[in-house]
Amino acid sequence: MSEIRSLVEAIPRWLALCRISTPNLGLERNEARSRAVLLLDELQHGHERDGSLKVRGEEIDTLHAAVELLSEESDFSRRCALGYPLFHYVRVLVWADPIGEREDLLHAIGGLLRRPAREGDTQSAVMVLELSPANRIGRSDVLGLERPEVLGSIARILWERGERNPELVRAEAVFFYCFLAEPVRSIGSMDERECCLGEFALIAGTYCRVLNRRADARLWFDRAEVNFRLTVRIQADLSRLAYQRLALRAEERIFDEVLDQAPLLTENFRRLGMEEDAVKCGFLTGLALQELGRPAEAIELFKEASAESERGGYRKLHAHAENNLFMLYANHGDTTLALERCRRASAVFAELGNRVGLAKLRWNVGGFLRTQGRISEAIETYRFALEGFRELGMRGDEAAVLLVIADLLLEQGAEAQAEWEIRAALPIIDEEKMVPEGMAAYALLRESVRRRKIDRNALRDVHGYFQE
Amino acid sequence: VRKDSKKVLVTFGLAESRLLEELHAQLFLPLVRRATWQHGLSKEDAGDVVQEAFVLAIRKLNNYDRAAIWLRHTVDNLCLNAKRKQRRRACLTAHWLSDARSGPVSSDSDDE
Repeated sequence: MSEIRSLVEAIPRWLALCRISTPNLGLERNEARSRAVLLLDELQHGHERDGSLKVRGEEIDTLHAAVELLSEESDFSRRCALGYPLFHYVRVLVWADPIGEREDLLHAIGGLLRRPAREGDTQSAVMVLELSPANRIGRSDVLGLERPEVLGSIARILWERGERNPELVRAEAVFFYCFLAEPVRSIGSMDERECCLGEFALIAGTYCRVLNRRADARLWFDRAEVNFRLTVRIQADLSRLAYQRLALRAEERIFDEVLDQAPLLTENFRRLGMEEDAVKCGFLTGLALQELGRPAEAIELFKEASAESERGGYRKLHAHAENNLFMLYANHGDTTLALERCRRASAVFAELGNRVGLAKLRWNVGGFLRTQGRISEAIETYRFALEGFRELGMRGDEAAVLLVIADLLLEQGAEAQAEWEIRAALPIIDEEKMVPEGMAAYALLRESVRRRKIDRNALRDVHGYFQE
Repeated sequence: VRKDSKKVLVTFGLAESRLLEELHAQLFLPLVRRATWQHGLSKEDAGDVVQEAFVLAIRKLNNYDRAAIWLRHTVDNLCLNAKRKQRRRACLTAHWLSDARSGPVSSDSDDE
């Protein structure tokens, strides 16, 4: 009782100390921005500011406002002219900093000053990528392989080419990661080496995920994290990594987790000004809603994502959103809307040369024809998709489509042909160590094939584990 | 008094109250700045969010050695929630305004 009494007695004193009714909130935003303009101007023109003075709260607000102004400056040379003096000024300031505000400010300025370095030298990057890996190593000086501008451009090109040829992009990313990791090379003047290592590891992990090599994907994501943690742009890069890890969870069908975390990550991307990544992350929410039996919400979400990606000029995302809408409308029985969406997705994928997107779209068209009862046409379309996955080296998807075709052949009574398709799929499932969660169904299916009497339930169960 | 509230009252003694006072004096303004400049909230909303974090600290904070980190994470999460609420409110307002423009709302539906 005495403890409760002491707490009750302490409350008025605590309230008085907090001054809840009239707290001091520091400098108003507009005032801080006005002062920041003056500060940046003085620093740029070399006016001495006494950095050893103890800084007050209002001045820290001004520093934050200065970073905000810097982020709004689109001319990179002017941004550098304003940013470098600010960076050095913040570095020498002294203030009681209980939550690491100075580090946050320095990271933010550092990130703003070096971000465009990634855009760099596209021409050299294209030249490097045209050569075979063996021809690159001995000529790394001439090719500029240790220049961050070239490496940044290579990474950007690999991201762009990813859905045209995921296997090649994965191999290239692994090559550049190994090139930078061993022996230790001096790249740039700050943290460019770690940044490039993180980026290539993220690319390698992403395309391992696309190719269904989940264990490898996890390994590469861990490597990416280790390197990104040493860079100044840590928040943005770790958020991109978090997206890939969440996409992996979606592929493993852990949709509750996806639904829980994807909105937070989307919010995070928006906070960092990464609109394209925010839209992409919204897809995961849509996917989870669809799989958890909430198609109406998923349709609304993908419609919004489609409109937003079209507005932002994110064409690949736009096509993927249309593909998802096609599937959702088709499942809903709304044939006209479904076909319209399918047409749009197909046109953009073809224009972009996005072979992964086209193969997945064909897979969805096969499913659509199946729901229409047009089994033979569905099988033909699935075979078309199968060809695409084979060419792309997407072994997991290849096995999944083989099982779907087998299921349809069984529906048509063509048991021998179905057995043939399953026999083609089984080695891939074994080789890629897939479906650990569906091992029982897989064992049943294998046994039923051995006995030459296919267990259709087992077939469908195994196929269930493949579906994205 | 609910069981968990009782537990909070009993475990939250004078020593914790003093520690929290000190933390408030040290961290309130830095956290308001974080909510304002990193999360884009207005100063008033940022102040509300940080106060809410301290109220949560009274109920939930166990390890005072890591209080600054705990409060920073809590403020980050509360800011995300606040922004989500703001967006939802803006959507609803836009929706209601468009409804209002398209025609008068009957008094029956108001009562509902």
